[in-house]
Amino acid sequence: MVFSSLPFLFFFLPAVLIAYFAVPDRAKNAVLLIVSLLFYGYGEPVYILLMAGSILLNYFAGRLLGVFSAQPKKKKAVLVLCVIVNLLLLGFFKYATLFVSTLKVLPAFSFLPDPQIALPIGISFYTFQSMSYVIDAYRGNCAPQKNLVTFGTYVALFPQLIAGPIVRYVDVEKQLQTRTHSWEKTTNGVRLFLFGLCKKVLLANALGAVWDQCKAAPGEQPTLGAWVGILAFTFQIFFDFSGYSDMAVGLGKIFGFEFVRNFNYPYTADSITDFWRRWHISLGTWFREYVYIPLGGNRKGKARQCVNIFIVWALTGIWHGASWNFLLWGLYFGVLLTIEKFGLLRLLKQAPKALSRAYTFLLVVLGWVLFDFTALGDMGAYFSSMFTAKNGLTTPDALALLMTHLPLLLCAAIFSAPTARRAFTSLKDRRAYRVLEPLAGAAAFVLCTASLVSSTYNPFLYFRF
Amino acid sequence: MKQPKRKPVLAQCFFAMLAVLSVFFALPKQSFAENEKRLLADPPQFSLQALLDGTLTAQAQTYIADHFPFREAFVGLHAYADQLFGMNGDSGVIRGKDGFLFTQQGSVSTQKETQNIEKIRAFAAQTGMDTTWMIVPASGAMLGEKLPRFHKSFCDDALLDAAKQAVGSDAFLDVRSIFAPLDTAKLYYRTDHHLTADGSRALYESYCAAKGLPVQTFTKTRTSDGFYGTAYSKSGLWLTKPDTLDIYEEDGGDYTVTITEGTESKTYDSLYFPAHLAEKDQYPVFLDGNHALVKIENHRCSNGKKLLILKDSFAHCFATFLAANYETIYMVDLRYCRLPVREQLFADGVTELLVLYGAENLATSTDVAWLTLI
Repeated sequence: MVFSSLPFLFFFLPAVLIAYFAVPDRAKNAVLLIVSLLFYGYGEPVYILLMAGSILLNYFAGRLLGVFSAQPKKKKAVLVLCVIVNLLLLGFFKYATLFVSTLKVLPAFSFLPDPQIALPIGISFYTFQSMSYVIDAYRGNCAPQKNLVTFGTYVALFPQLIAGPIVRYVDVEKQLQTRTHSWEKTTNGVRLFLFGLCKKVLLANALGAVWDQCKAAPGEQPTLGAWVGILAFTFQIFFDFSGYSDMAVGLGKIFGFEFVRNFNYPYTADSITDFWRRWHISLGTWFREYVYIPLGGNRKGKARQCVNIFIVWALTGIWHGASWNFLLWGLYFGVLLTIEKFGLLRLLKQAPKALSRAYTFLLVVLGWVLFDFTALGDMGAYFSSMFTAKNGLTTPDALALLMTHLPLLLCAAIFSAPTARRAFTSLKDRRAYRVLEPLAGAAAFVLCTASLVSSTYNPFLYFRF
Repeated sequence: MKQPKRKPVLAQCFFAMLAVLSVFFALPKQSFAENEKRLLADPPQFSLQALLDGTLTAQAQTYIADHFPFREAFVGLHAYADQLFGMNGDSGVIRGKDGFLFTQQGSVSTQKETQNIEKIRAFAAQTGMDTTWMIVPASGAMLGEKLPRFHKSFCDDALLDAAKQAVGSDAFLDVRSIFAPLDTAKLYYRTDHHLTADGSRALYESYCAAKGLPVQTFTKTRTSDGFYGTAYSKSGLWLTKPDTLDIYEEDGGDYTVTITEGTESKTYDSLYFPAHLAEKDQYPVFLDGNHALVKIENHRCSNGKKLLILKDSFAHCFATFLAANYETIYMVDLRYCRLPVREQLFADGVTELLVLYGAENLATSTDVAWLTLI
């Protein structure tokens, strides 16, 4: 189930709110666990078993780590085994198809059958969450969770279950035991949820329709059309993903949780290094904490640091989807980050802000071409549409596409920057605000509902991951 | 200074809206959506199998979407919000000037069109029929002055040129030149893609001139002011004013119309089906809308002329005129017709063929291949 859908908004959410606030505090986690499993099973009921298996595996691994707390060797064995099983599950369900189809390119393996595995929704997210728990429990950063319901709630918690943020166990350990609920927190949560819903439904979906038109014929776009298309996708993926994160964090607040912020105006970054501190922050943190630093980070010399950077970025790329273009996309950023580390960053710091931001934005936009074309041929054709005039500079259709979506693109640009938020904060203490905010919220919600009712076009980009 | 405590109005508002719409959902449901011309989903049927394989939730989702309270009002709100935002055309309909709604074209290629034309030419060659072609361009292609400044372009010119080249200019009646001296805005409906009775009449007169047939006398017998066409239904722009639909009847016409679907045939004594005037979409008033095979017999005509029309719905209104000049007209709609009618056509002595299609339909149809079957 996705948040921006009618069944979620008008059936699941009201029912969950009633159930959650009707029960006493000690039963709240159990309610969350049950509804989260229902939420997860809505699309593919059989995968509830997978989820339950993943919860049990990591729960018992945590318990064993507690039992062996004085026996480092056994402790290490438990950790290694648990991480391997987690990765095998992820590998099997997410990458088996890619692995087999790639092997089949070799004549010797052409007999292999195509594995028919439907990707379990959110597996990349909850596997990483669970691993953060076992690794931190091993390191002694948190105590093993003895209560299975509490632990299950952490893994399956529906707000962040299918598209993040990737919440580390250590960040919510206390909140899982005791958390407070208040109307103030709830109001903040509703505000953020509505904001995220608008980003997803009003901006991302409309931008997605523009991109779909351009993407359908990658080799036939005039230069203008190709740029309008990739700009639309650039904004679409941001509003899609950050909208979902906002909704997740907002829902979390309603249920008393404080999750980490996942996006911080990434398109205003002034270097690629800065961009990755602002984009999908929880994933970056995860790779830093559990891959980059354990590999030695920057403490073992420049050469080793380079290797580490490339390992992390290859993994980051392929985490985004089981297709080789994602690896390419990850490595592209690996190269850019390495170049920045070895000098460019210093230059960028001295350059005018407008220039360094333009540099960053342009490279990120080019990256999205790598990201969204799984076929290399289409990718190349699209690049050549962007940078040559082989289909002409513009056509009436490309111009119409731009002009009929200019207000949308401008809105997208405004909401990608902190401008809107600053205006909002400056108004906050005005008296009229108290009346206007609920009115604006209600109007926004009605518009989102109208949009959802009027179209079934509602695919979530991050479902694949 | 201590901040004054804020009232949680936003949250309460949100929860109230969730509650209100959830409650409205309990209201009685409609089973048919007139604008979409389809039955709405039935309530999901619970079974363990359906639950496990995910079809239950899929059904529930469709059911909720289909029966959402104030569904049409929400669709309309979304359509007008899009307009306000300048996104004219994203719904598949372009809102033009003076209440014109233009159906936007999908991706169309002359390649597929030429293939379809070749299939029909092969059929004509096999049967030895004297063939005439009329390809009707989309309203958007003909009414440039009613279109907004920026819109997806229409490629009907290219489609008609390709067709003309493929069939030769003798057999091709170019609708563009027929319409050129006329007031085109009166020849197409505003809220529908079809030609008005005036538009069809213009085609009829040109056809008669080209084939040396006498133009018969028709009288406007009925007018409806409440026609909402398919572009209207698709657009969600509910405030658009309805179209006028005129019906011209031949003075003293006497017809038998036989409509065949599958193995079942029904006979009527009129070219018009006024029952459809009670509906939103009234175009089926002409020959009852889409059918696999329609046979029109003119009892006042004994000139021995018999015609086959391969067509889509653009021919429905047109045929009510042309029927006056032929003893028998067969209309075959390849989207629905899987009947072996070739023998019947031979036995009945049909010697003429008219191909009458909307340009986009002919260029995208995947059903022309069924010609080999009939």
